[in-house]
Amino acid sequence: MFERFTHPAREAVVQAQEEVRRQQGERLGTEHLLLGVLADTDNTAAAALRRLGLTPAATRRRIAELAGPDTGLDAEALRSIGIDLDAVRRQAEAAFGPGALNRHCRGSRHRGFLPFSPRAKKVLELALRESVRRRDGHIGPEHIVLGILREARGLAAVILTEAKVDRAAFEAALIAREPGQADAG
Amino acid sequence: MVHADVLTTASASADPERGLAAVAALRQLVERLEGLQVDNARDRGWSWQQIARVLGISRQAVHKKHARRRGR
Repeated sequence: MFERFTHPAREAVVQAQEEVRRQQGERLGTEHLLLGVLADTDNTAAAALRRLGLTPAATRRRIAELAGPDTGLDAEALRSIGIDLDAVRRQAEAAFGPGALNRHCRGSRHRGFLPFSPRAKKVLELALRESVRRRDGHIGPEHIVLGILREARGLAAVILTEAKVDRAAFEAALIAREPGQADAG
Repeated sequence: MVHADVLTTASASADPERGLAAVAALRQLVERLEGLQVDNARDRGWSWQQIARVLGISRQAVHKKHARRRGR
């Protein structure tokens, strides 16, 4: 699938991986893909999102607020079997102090490619589908954003929805350019 | 602590991708909690034998897994 990715789209995935490593996470979620797209100031998708009011700093802050402190554990997967990681973390911290659940974190052992969460995988599949639908012939960062919007349930989609970024708004912002701004590929 | 419903859902999840990811996440969570509880027990003066009995594993197993991490 990655062979159809443009250079900026690959860069977005690389940045997403960096983001996970910085947070000592163990897997790449939709929120990291969104931060990966935003990290590159040159790509048109990031420019469009900025025009709609999304900055990397504000997005990172909102992710931390929504997801809670990153424990490196897969809260989403645990939720799917009825375990509220937040509740477990709160109980552990009540008994053993702040950060108790992270005390036995082995740290990020991954030097290579980090695994994608099921939702992040779905986003990339949908990015491909968006590219086909638009007959673009390649997958760029804008398709990743459209994939996030279409997947609609991941953390990244929640943040976009909060920022009132839907498909129509994003596609309009992609076409519109700031006055005097050159097309930044 | 793990409710029966949880296990039912984990074993019944139709999508292998989601089901397996849930099992992996659960295993990681269990490892973290075990480390936390073993440390607490040792700090309170529990012997490896006592810890092993409650965990339902052999003293050797619990010692091998946790003693070196704790540096004793």
